[in-house]
Amino acid sequence: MKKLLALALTLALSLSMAACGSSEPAASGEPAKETLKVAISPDFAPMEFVDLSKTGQDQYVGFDVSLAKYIAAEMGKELEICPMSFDACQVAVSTGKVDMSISGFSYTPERAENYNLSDYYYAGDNETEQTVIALKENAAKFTSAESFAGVKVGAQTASLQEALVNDQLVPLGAELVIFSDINTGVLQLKKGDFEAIAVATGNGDAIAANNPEIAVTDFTFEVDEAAENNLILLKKGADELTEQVNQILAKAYDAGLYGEWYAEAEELAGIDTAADVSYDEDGNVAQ
Amino acid sequence: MDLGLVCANIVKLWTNYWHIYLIEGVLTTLKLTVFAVVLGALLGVVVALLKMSKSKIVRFFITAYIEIIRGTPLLLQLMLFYFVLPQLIPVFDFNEFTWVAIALCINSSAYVSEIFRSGIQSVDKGQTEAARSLGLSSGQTMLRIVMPQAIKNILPALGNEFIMMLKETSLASTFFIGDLMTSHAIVKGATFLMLESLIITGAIYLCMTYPLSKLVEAFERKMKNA
Amino acid sequence: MHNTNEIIKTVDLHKSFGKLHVLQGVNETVKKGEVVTVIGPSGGGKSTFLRCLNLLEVPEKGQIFFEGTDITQKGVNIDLHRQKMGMVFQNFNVFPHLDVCKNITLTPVLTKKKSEAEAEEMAKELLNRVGLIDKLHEMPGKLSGGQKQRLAIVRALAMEPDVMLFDEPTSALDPEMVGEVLDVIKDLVKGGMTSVIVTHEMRFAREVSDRVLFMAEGNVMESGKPADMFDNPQTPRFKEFLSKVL
Repeated sequence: MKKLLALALTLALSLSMAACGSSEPAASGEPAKETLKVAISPDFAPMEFVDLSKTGQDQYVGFDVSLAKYIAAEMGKELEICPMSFDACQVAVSTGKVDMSISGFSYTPERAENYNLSDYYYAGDNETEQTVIALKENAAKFTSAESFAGVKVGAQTASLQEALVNDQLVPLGAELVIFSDINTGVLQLKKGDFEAIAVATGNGDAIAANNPEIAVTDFTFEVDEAAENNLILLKKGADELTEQVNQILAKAYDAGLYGEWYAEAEELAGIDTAADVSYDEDGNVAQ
Repeated sequence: MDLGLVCANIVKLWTNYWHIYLIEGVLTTLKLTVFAVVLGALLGVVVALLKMSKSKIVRFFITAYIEIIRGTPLLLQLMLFYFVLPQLIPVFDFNEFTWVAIALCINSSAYVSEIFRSGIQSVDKGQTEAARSLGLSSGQTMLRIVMPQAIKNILPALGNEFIMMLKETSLASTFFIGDLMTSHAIVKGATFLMLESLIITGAIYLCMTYPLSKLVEAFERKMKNA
Repeated sequence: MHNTNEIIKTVDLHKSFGKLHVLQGVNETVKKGEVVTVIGPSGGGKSTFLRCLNLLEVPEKGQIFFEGTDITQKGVNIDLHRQKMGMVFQNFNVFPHLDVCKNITLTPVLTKKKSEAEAEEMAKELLNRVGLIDKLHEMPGKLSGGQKQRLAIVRALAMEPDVMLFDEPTSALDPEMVGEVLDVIKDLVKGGMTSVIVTHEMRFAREVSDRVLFMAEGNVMESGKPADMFDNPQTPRFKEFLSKVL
């Protein structure tokens, strides 16, 4: 029995790789910094996704990742990205597995009740602006809210986009179709389940970049500034940390960093492999 | 849907990202599966023996262990292991990958223990009686008489458990653990080519499971004739 | 006080399976060199009685003395006692994954009674005696029922037991194979092996027994020398039984 346990532990340790659970000191010999653990769901370009040309912690890129790096640097901590599904991100925050989650969260009353929410951060016009994408041959059709009469429009469940379609297109005769994640939505669009998908423009751009048969339309929703901005999820009661994060967000905003990060993220997402430009943790161009 | 385009996209994804699927994804999936099934089997033997223990209390706890693990979704167990256990037992400073592997291993142990138990119970009781009546101890009887006969039923079932686990590890992609399904998640997240990536991923899973299931089949046939 | 002549002695043996009270206080003694056959209707407790003797069934109440030791006591290493009690089963229970030779040598070697070579030597000798020497390296799956049972007997003998317990050794055999197995048992008891034999073969019981036990309804109803028993049954229950089987 003891031998078995020993074998199990040996095997377990041999499997260990640097990830958010392990607190191995930095290899370069500098004094070990405290770590800031941030959960993200890296499947949503350009906000958070994986640079497929890289491995390890470096592979996580996108606007939210830049923001996370900035926050960690401001706090003087070592950033550790903990990748997991969007649902799991929320559990990770509530169980204290991570310090916070930066993964394109928007405001909902339920979230406000169960978590500490940071101030809004502003990803850029492309994230604020909400549009629809459609198959290229149909894209020209959609110019105004009226043009959606009798059209099926897809939106991700419980998203801002769902609310927008409901409020602005359904009253004019459009039909809302719900899907669970954006990739499924894109598939359904190609299959013909609906003719258009409501998305953030930045997201739409990334989709169109990889799917030549899909185009972003000229149509835009009317949006209320406050509603569509993103915020950071923190553990209920972590007021001190929340305050600290809010100050850092304000500082980043004043420094005009948001636009810069977003441009970088879009560039990385737009070109498939992103082999030519990438950034290391200090913000320098690597490779 | 434009099938030609889908095919073209598959070729594109494969050309650009084959190493993400094959090198990282497949390797991690195999590593997780081997870890889960091999250690799960060792743990499963212990669980199976305890389940046949004479002590009612031991049997109660082991039965509870098996029923809880077999009666709840693996994803739920992964979540608990990933989020709760590292905080309950901070002594074990494992990384996420290891916690997920341990969760899979424990999950596997419950199934494997039932494989062992039914394998052992498939051996005629008369074999045990004969061995005991000759004066062999219960341990000698298990090792020399029952196990060699039970293994015929156990090995193919273990092979099937391996195949099952190979597929089940895909749930670990919830935590982007690096398995094949994680490869799919990150490729589709960066390219929004979900269908194409799914087809590639499915094909790779099939390439792993099909030869394995043929192997199990061949073994079963051989055992039947033996 | 232990009488060295007594190999097995049971005192007030009780055994139940659920509500079924199978043994209801059996008191019996088997003497050294004695051949005792147990007959009686199905469900009368014969097999259970036999299986209690080496504790394959554990009695709820009562004592079993084997060569003077009460083996029902806690702390008794039953394995050591079982090594001196050979048992032969109705269904042979030969080990199908081991060849004939290994079936015989496994236990003597494992219990460190004999070296591998000694055990094999003895296996050959025993197989010769029962006419199975040409099957030495055959797998049991290739043997007939009669051959399997002869192998099972030899396997038990390889432990050089002080007593042999036979539990309906011919009941599962095709009729034409009964003879070859009974012949082996006859040879064995003629050689002086103390035996307890549960059987349905009345003629055989009459021929080989020193003493016959008639068991029914959980106890020994009648016992005695075979000739007296069969020619002059005393109890109505035994008379009724004989009228059915003879």
